[in-house]
Amino acid sequence: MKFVILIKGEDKWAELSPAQMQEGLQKYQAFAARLREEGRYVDAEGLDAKIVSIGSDGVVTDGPFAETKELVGGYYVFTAADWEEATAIAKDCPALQYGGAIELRAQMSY
Amino acid sequence: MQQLEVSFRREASRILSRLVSRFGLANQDRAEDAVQVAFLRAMQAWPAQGTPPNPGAWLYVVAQNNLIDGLRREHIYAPESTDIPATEFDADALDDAELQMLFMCCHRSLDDASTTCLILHTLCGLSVSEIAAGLLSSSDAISQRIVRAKRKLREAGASFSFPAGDQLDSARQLVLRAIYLMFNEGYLASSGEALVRSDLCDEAILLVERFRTSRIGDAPAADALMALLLFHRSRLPSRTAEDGSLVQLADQDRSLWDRARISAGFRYLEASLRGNELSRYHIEAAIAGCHARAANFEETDWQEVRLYFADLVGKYPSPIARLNECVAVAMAEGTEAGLELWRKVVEGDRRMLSEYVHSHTIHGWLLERQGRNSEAREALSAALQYTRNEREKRFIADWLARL
Repeated sequence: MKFVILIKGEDKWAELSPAQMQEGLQKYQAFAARLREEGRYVDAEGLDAKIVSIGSDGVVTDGPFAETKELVGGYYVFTAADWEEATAIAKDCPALQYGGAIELRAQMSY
Repeated sequence: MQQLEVSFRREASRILSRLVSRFGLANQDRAEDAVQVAFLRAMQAWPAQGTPPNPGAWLYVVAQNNLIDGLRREHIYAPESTDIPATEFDADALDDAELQMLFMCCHRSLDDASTTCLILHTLCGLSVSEIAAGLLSSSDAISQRIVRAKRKLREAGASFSFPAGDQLDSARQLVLRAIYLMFNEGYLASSGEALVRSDLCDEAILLVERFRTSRIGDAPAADALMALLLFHRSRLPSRTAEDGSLVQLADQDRSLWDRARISAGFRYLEASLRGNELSRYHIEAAIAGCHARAANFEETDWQEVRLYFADLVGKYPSPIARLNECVAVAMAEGTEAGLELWRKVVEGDRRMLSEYVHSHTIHGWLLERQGRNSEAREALSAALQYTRNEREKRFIADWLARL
């Protein structure tokens, strides 16, 4: 079953020193490495803050500009047997150690 | 865990220096934010895509793009402007900019404390709270100091360039002095976490090394400073007892002294003897070297130490060097001679030295050696009045109790 971790607003980064940033990177790398080693890794990406909306009328606008804490800054797609397993994995995502929040979603089951 | 070959701390300093040199001091805060964003992007991208082949270049390009985007958004550059000094990643240019930033941090318009903060912040990649912990200050005070220092540099019209001709030598001296002071801050800070203290000392040593090996830092005084800092650093573990109290040189467990740093110190000291420059770091390193070589306090070659002190106070007179000379004279010629010199020194600069804690502790030490314990107690009681930190207070109080 495929799950996606949506990482929202990590406000704590601004105050961290470069060494602490590097430590954060290493935690993320370890997180991704574990997903790969367990054969769960599907995809991951950081997302740009730019948002473009296209309405049903075909009008293209910049935005909406969400609050930083609501903005999705990146995602991890991975496989897990069920919600329980996926939740346990998502809890290990380093974002949570840096003031970020996670939204865990699953592929729709039919 | 994957081990990266990139050091964010090193890259922060180089990239920031380069961006500020291209986009100006007025944009330093924006450049700092842009570097931070680059690190954040790395954190998002590298775990997924793998670490890029040249991480430093990747971070530079991302930081620069972010800075330019920001400048456009704020209309500092027109959206279509081609007049933007974007540059490709060039490792040598980054190193040069970093050196120029070092000179900038040591600008004449800044006081010593501001220089120290600015170096730690821009070149050593320490956060405001880390600097505050190292300097026993508050985060607010440090961050204000940094803001003010940046403003002063802008007002003084400081520019990114290498000091040329006869300016170079004095600029080099300012740099070495700034690093020396920064080391002393770490070395003398007498409370706070031991770890933080040695961190500041290690930063200073790394900085001398970076400066020394740069294309503009080749100076015997830089080697001498390196030797001096290594000798002092080698003794750091023995300066603190298990209960956190201070241990003075005479009582230090010399088996704790770091032999590797000591032998490196001697190598630098030897290298510093090329040319005919005799900086204060040369003399101070020679003195520290005498201690490093000695099996214990009594068996130190005090005759030699005394001669070096005579050199030091002759060439670089300071009441504090003269006070330390009293100890060397006492050990080389007898306590009475040391006491006599002490009286002379204090007579010469009573205003400053009467409130200087170590003037009194040295006096007390000399008197104690002569068995004049009640007078020694008076001297130490005076010392106690002028100490401002707890660890030193405890050290003197313990000493008083023993007498």
